[in-house]
Amino acid sequence: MQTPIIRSMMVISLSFILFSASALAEKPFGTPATVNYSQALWSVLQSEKMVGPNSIRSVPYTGQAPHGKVLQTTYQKITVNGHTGQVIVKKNYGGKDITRSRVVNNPKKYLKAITVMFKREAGYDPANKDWFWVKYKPDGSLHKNPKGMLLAGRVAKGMPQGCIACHRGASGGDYLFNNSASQLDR
Amino acid sequence: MKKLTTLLLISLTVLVSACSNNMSSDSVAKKSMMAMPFGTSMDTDYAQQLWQALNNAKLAGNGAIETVPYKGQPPHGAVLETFSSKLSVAGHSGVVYVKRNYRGKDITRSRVANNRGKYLKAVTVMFKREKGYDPENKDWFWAKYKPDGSLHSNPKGMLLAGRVAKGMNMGCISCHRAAPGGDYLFNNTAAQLDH
Repeated sequence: MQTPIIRSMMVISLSFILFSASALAEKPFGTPATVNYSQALWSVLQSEKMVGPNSIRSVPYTGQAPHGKVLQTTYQKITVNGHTGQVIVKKNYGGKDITRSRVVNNPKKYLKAITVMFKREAGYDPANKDWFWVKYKPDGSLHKNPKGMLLAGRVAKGMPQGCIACHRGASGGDYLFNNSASQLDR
Repeated sequence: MKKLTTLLLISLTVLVSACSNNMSSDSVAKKSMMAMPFGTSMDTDYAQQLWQALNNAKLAGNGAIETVPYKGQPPHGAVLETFSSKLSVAGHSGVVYVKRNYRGKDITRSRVANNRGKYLKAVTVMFKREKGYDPENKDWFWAKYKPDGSLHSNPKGMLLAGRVAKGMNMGCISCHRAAPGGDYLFNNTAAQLDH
């Protein structure tokens, strides 16, 4: 029934669809799906008062690159799209004249990024403990890497730099530096 | 007749003096209640409402928010976690500071991070009450809770909630009065954090 031309056109478009789908599936972060998820996560963090102008404040401590000279970090269990997991929210402060007390008295001036790790459902990224990584701007939009990729998802799986590559070095094996003895008791 | 009058007079005098005695001991009790700046039933009731609000806001109790524990000092503890937020209690909204006080023989920051329950000894709270609550001391309500929300008491057995310990030379107020910002808060001031 079908002419050879139609048949070959169908084959070509099918393989194109398959190819672009696999390319999407391979991209570990910065996809529309991970960006959407980061937005759902942000709105939960807002209602839990972990981000935003009315968020719960903790005592800022001295940090280091790449996060910031002054940091605030909070932990909690939260539920995003029906999945409950541990979340770690780090407020990253920077600025020329920064001190801890200046951050306390004027956090907005120094807040550069909010970096988040959220423990996703088992199987999300089994090679890396199923963490979802995000680097938000203070308004909840996303920071990008130098290549323009939005920083949400398995950041940056397979690359020699980025969240996963560095956090893999945490001594407890859980990608968390502050939960491990070696870091806090130095 | 004379006898009866005398008897009546005596009994009347006894009655009146008994009454006035009663009244004066009553007003003394009232006065001492009024003067007692903390640990009264009003203070402990309020402390319970505050504890409930802190639980609802996930600032205390099971499932509460956590942060990176930092090194503390007496009288609070060797390791501390401190949070602040706005909170509503009995219709009044004010800023609240919540400090988790960790202590123990073998304590380290990482041991606290990995087993908070083992080292948590007290949750000390400052809540900014309505204007006029304690104008000389910035209207702070002070409480020292045990991990279960009941109250610690001082060596005299007074429960630690209220204006603790107004008029005494030790306790929350007398120490926090020295905070350089004048707001009774040590961690909000440049002098403390930037050392």
